[in-house]
Amino acid sequence: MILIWVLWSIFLPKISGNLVEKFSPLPSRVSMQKLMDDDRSKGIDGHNPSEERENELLEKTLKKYNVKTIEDLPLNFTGVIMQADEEYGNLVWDKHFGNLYTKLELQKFYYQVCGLFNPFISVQNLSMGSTGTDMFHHLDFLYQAENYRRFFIKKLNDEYAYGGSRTGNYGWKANKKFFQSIKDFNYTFPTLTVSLIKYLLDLIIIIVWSVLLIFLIIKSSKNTNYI
Amino acid sequence: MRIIFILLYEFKHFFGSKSKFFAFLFFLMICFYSILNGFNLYQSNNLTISNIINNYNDDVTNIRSWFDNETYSPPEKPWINVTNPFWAINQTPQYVIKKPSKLLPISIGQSEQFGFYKELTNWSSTYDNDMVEEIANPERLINGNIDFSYLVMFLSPLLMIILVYNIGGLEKDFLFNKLVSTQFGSYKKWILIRFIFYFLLIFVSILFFIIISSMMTGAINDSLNQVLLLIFLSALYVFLYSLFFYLIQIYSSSSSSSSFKMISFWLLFCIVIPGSVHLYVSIKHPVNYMTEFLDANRKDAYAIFELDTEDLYYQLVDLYPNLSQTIHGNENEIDSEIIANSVCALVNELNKKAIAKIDNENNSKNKLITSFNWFNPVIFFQNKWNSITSSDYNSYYQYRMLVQEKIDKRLRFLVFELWNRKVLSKDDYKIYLRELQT
Repeated sequence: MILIWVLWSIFLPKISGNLVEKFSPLPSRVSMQKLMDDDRSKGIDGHNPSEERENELLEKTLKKYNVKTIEDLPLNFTGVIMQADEEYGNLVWDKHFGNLYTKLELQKFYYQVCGLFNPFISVQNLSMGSTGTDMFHHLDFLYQAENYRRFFIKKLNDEYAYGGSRTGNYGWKANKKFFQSIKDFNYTFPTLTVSLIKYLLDLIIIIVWSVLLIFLIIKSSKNTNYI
Repeated sequence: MRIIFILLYEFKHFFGSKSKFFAFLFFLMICFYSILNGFNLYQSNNLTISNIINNYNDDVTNIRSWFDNETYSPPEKPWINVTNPFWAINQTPQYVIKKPSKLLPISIGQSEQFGFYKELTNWSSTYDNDMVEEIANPERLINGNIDFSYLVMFLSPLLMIILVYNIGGLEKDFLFNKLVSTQFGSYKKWILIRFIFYFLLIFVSILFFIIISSMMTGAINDSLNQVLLLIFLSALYVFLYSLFFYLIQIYSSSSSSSSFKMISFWLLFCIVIPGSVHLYVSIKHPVNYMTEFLDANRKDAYAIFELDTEDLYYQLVDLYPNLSQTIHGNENEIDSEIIANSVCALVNELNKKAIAKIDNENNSKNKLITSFNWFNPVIFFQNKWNSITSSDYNSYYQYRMLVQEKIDKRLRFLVFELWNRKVLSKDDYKIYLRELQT
């Protein structure tokens, strides 16, 4: 009994955690950073460096406003570049962090499957999921925070580009009204139903284990001779 | 001879008892798995370090080629000029690395909680994002890794209970103990010899794994003293709990009574006391959300950026009094570009003050944990073990101190080179590389 308890509650969760990482390994910080830096400087396709992208954007903007020089633009082109760079950075972020989050979600799925052999894992998953301390909530928070960051940066860049400054006005400042108009970040918890859907597998596993154990208890009690 | 016979009898009894034999086999398997895990971590750390060194070499070769081609900048960033100390230092990667101990496979310790490499920039601090753990699944970190030291500290006493729960107790259950006294002479001595068998069984197994993994990483040659210390520590630990279990066994009336007492003993020392101490320490010293550090990084740093060039000039001279003897220090006009590029040294000082508070808080937290060692022996042994294998908090604290030392040195070097209006040649750049590496 001690062995089963030690095995299920202490060792199998650790071993399962290690195994899922073997099935879906995560990148090291150094390699991920290098790939992101490469994508940012050389372009996601590897043939579209930042300088070329900038020139292309300038030509497009000049054409759009039907002017010949950057000084003639009725906007601050630096702000346009910053937002374009930001959007490009977002694509790079989505590619790499998207992959990372997919891997983390895959690891979570494998870990949930381990509940078939160790129901404590399913109990642990459900417990963390229902209290909002699991990885799904963590990833959801990161997504919402990242979306807010994008919204916030876009607001700042757009204000710098189209809010009244011109290219070269480096000291230009937005007014208080603009900053007050930006809404604060508010994390919205996913609803219980949404959370529970992610833990359907754990629920099924616990039900199957419970039915199986009840069946075994009934069966063994029938086989017991009391005298 | 009689002692040998008892040991041989115990050997037969051990092999004959399926539950004991399989429990021991399970222990060996899990130890093997933990060592394998440790090796994987050791190898992945070393692989990451060799990738870092390769990246470093590539970057340095690139910068050298800018000197050779006299372009002094990468083609896509023509504004860079590496003959200027600011750009030369800015473009040169500088890493501070904590090489994994060769004893890491037998003690992962806190290696997964802290970073082991750090790329320095002019704005680095010891609490940057990249000083924390590698990219990892947070839920896996909660469960932790199967660590050999953890198995020795927490599982080996449990194995001992499984192996000895019926020694002596069984004889008492069937009232054979008096017969044993009649045949052997001393009942307590008879029990002791049987206990010695299991003490040796567990200790030799641990010894085997320590020696094998030390031989595989070469620690047995390079860190023999540490290996010997670990062997001594494990022997002492196994001896201590074996002694307690022996005392419980001889003073218990039956096998169920002794099993209950031994399990309670294990629960108390391996689960209840460490858990309670952890809880108490967490209440006394709640998690630091680094607000002071973030304030220093943002609010106070922005306050510095708002200062006049002249104010910054004097603050820099206050920080490095010898700056007044540099070329720029003797000029009448203040060069705002030099000052702007030197400001990072002032921000570093702000960071250091904020970090000192966090470190003081951490140190008092550790002191509090240490003050409980006299009744929290398992954690004491585990911390000692991690300390020998350089995977404890203190080892990472020392590493952070080294990072801070390198940041200080880098910034001091940068500021003095800027104020001396240095223009770099390729040979000067070699000196820079040496300065940044040492």
